[in-house]
Amino acid sequence: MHELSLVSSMLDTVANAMPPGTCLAEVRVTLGPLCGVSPDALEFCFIELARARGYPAARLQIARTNSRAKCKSCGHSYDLSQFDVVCPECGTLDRSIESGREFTLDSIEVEEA
Amino acid sequence: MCEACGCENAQSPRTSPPGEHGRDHADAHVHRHGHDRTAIPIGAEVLAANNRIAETNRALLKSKGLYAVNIMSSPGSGKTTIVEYLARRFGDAMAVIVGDVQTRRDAERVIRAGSRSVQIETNGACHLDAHSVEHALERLDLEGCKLLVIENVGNLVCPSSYDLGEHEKIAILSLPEGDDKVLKYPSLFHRANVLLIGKIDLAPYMEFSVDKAVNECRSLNRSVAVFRVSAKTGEGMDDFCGYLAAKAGIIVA
Repeated sequence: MHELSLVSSMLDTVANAMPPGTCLAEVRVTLGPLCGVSPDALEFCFIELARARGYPAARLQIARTNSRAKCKSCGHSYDLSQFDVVCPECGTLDRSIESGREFTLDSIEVEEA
Repeated sequence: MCEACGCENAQSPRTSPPGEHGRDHADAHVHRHGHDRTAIPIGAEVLAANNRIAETNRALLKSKGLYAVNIMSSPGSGKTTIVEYLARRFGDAMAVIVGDVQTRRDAERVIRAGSRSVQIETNGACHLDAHSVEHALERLDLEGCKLLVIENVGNLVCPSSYDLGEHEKIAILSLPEGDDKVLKYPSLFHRANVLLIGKIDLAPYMEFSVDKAVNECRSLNRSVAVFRVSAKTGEGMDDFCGYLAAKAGIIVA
């Protein structure tokens, strides 16, 4: 459940970004399929921790991305949603992962309190 | 409390029926938040703070001439037994940071085996992060050390997401865990620089295909270095110690 510490660090960044006198309405994040974060667990932790930090109405918007890999055997580039997806051209797993590990805090929306 | 935005400032009475809340929200409450939303871009890696501290740790280790490895595996896979073996071999040339949820047992074992060690008790956290390692480094006397071993909390999932400032990641898969674990926990094995197949002395009693585990790991990660070891019998440990000594520049007498 490392999602709890991820949400905690996320909310630290959010607190620093919020102008005084505003309340938090929405937090937008992007999750790559290989970043090792469960969207369900993230949402669960967010609801609990946001309430505890005084943002009871804040919502979490999760955008999902694809992962892009380049096969080290045949050079083919392909999308994958999990680690065990083999290269559709040659059937091997060894590849450089070009994207899909990202977990970014993109933006927040605030309202005047 | 305002039911639309949840803020604590709403002073009833509400004048609009609940169904219309939001449409004429500015008039609905005595307080004025109006629900004009402002978007504020952030665009930061959530682990950016951790990664910054990890880079600081790496720079500190480099300035002191230390080579650092982060050992990750399941609980009970033999991390500390392997580290004890290394402590008997490397003594004062090695320092160890040990992470566990609770107790100082592992640090005490490492110290008894001959290396200096500090314990991080995470009090519930399932992994070490760069910040906890930064503070552990403040408590460690690194004088004369060439090799820093960070023994992570026993867990095949969460530790793999956190850069601690190490130079290499070492994954251990021991025979009793089963030969199917690499693809079940791919994130950790994908990122490992070294794979130790542990408790290899149990091979006669286990239906564990070393080839299957190694091939699955190599399929994810072609350049992984593999050692088959038993810290109990010493099998394979000379090779592994030689590998670490070469990386850390330790001259073994």
